[in-house]
Amino acid sequence: MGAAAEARDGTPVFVEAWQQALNEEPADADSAAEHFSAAVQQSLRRMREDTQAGVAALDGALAGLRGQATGLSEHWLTDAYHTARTGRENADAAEALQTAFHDYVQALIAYQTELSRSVEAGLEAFQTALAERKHDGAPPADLTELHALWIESAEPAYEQVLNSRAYAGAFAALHNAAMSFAGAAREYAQPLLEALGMPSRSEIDAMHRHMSDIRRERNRSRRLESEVALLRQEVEALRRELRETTGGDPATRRPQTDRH
Amino acid sequence: MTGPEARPPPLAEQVLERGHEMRTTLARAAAMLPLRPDGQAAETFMELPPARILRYPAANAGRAMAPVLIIYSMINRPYLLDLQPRRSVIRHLTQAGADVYVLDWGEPAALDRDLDMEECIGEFVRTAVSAIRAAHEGSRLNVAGICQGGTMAVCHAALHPESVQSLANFAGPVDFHTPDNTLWRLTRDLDPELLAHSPGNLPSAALNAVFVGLKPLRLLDQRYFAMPELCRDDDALADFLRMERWMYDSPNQPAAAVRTFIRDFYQRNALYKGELRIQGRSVDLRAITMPLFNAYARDDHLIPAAAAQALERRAGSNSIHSQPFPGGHLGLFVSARAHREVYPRYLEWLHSHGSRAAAMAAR
Repeated sequence: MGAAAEARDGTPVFVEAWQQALNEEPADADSAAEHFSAAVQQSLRRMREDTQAGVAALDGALAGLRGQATGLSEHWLTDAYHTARTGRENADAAEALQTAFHDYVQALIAYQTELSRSVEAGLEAFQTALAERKHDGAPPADLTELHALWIESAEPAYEQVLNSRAYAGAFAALHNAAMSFAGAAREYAQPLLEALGMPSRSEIDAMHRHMSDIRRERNRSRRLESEVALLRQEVEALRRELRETTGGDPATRRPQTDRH
Repeated sequence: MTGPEARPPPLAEQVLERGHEMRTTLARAAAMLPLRPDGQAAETFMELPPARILRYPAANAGRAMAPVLIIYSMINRPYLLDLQPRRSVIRHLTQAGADVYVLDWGEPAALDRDLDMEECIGEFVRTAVSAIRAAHEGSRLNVAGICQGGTMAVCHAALHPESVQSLANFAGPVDFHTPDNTLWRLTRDLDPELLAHSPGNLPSAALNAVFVGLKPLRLLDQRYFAMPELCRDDDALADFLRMERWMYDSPNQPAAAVRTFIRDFYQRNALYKGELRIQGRSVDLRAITMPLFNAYARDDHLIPAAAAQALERRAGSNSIHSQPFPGGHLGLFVSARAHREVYPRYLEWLHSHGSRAAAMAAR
């Protein structure tokens, strides 16, 4: 879930688009740019379609958890879940989960819109730069120059969108919604795991905290050991200094008492 | 020989040629794998799970310099500093006669999700400093911080100036609200407390995607388009592959460390404003009175130069060396130019400000 748009198999959109554009064996720069632009648009369309398909599938499953889909309500897992919670609690938890999911989907769509905007801005800048070079009678002489022009023209356009308030807002909203969805899913799963006698997230967290506290204590004792060793060295250094100044060992010297 | 009037072949032919070169380059690259970092052997000085302190002994017995502790960032792995002998920060230091220690944050596991910035700085860095000092007769240390580790080093030096002979900050942010800080913009509206609900630590892949997303055209498109140019240079190709491996070989981040770094450093800008507290103590940058070497990259898109330069305004030291570098973030650590210009200058500076004799006398 990063800022770099990815195609279906995880290849970044730009890389995939160049691959496609170059596979077309374009005759000149204009043709390459055209193929490239079409490939990027196609990748973005596919990204949106994938999102819609994923949303529809997960939404159906979530609706099932609320008892709105008949298949899932018969399932033994759902039965176990119902025994662990009252009907009211179950409905509340499922509703919270579904709401969190819908918020996440809204945030994802808003983010993808911003991402598409950044890609389209890059393409537009590239095509403008290409037209200008052609108009000036200096079109890119070879593939390397064409590619360099793409980077030089598209990057500022991409960064302008990246640095916009709208993009930052969409980015933060997406991450916040993803975390909220994870939290709601955790709340939803907890009673089911308890009902099945499986360790819940809270129990694992408690165990981890216990283990990390033990480790923390051990690390702390290492620090204290080092600090005590340092203090000893400092005391020894002071003694040496005093010996050199006074000509005797202050630790073995008898205290002087005034007997008058 | 080609005459000046020669025209390049049609684009389609160039594309085919490029594809052929790419296949050849990939085949050469595949034959080189697995490719390990070509650095010096380190010994483990201390285990502090999940972290550890690595030790690289001085290359000569003279040990003219006080020990150097490098505090690395939690975001990536410290072998960046010793990827290959020709460009090794660690080798520069050991060959100059310093025992070098590196605080490596290791591989945070699920049980480390509560490890926050306060504990990182107040416990781990402090323990590393005390343990290394104790192993060197109480000598003060030359502390150097890298990126996020620079921020931690700055905090430690402000809290415990008596333990630090000299401080070097390499691209460590101090003012997180400079106008050109893209990461601040992106984190401004995040709700860090929601990370408490996250299923565990923050996966490294998610963080890498954010970083690549800041410069996708340079880090993906251009980087791989240019790869065939390395085809006839095995050394350059090996460097490329080592760098490639390092870039995507990141540990997962403890949820609490991410939460507190975003909240206290990025959102509140508490360090710069003098509002940061570690273990009940205020982190006052004016307490940094030891000599300071402050290096930053002018074209750094992750840590803007101004974010690191801000330390020079806030630190109390009257001996500050400001070292700008004309390049980007990674260039400051691995580029040939940085190894020609920045690190030799740092060594020279260390000889003046971080000698063993001075550090022992000042303890």
